[in-house]
Amino acid sequence: MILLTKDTMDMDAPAPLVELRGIGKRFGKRSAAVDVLRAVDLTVHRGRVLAIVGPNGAGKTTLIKSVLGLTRPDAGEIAFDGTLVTGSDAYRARIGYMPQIARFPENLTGAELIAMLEDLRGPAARADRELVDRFALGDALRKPLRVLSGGTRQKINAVMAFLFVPDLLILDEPTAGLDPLSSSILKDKVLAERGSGRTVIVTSHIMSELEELADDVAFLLEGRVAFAGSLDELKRVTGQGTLERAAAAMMLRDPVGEAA
Amino acid sequence: MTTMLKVLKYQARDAIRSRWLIAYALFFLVITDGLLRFSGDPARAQLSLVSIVLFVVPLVAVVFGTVYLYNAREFIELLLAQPLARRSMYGGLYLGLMDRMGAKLDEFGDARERLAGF
Repeated sequence: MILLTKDTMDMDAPAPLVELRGIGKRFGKRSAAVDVLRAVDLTVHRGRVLAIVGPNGAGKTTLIKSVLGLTRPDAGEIAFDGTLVTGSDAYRARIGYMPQIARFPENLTGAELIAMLEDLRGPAARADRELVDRFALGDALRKPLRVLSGGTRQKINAVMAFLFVPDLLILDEPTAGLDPLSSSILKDKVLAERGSGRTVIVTSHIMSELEELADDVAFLLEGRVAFAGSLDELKRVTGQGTLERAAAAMMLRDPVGEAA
Repeated sequence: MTTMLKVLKYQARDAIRSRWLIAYALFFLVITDGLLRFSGDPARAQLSLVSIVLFVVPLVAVVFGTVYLYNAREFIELLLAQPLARRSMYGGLYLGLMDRMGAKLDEFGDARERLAGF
């Protein structure tokens, strides 16, 4: 059966940044209800990059949205830096979120959008505009978002996630629609942020990309955590050499682990 | 309250640049002008305008508002991921939309008064 190895992780690590305990979420009415998350326990360690992996519909996005407070779980609790987050807003000041789909108000310019976020976060918010220069977005920021290409909008999306030097970065399919150069720049930025002690949660369908970024892997299967631990451990447990092979091996196993 | 006003400010700035709202304002300008020119009687023109406004304004407000908010789904998600209370975020969006629909009415009112002066 699948091993739950998170206890071995907890030994030497400092207090985790995010802790999810028994998260359950059900969508729909009684007869057609779908249990998207079933008693998910997950620990996000400080200064590490956690990749959330799983087949389509495994509950990755719902899990991310629960951490952000966009979805309210039916059961369980979420602690951010040791405090329960239920119903509070202030903790989101320490999170940078890059949503999967980059669609913004069409008639605003990128510069206005960034100004709005700075305005909303208040004067205390530090602005990290490094990605604006790295992506060479100067001109694009002055044009209305409606005329920009999908890739350019995705770059602006990335800029906004990194803008406030957050303790926790949540990136949902960050490199979708980016050319190889831009996605390398973005990956370098993620690794640089980790280097300066920030925590990152990332999802992607591109396993090679996660292999480059991730320290830890959480494998979701039908709303349960089928594996949580370091990348090397996942490879060892499945006996595979790459994350892609390891993920495929996990999917082929008995989908619902009785131990979970 | 202040966050609500900030959301309102940027959202209203987006909405005012919408081609549909500009077309909407022009529509009222043309209707007003036409009624004044062809009826010859400002009082009757005003009465006709009132019935047009009573019909068109709620209809356009509902349709424009629905389409706008539907298209803004991802943007609303991004706003909700900021450290804001849901209430002030939605309040700002609502007031911003209402303000734009109302602003167009003001412009229409000004145009009417100006035309009535001829």
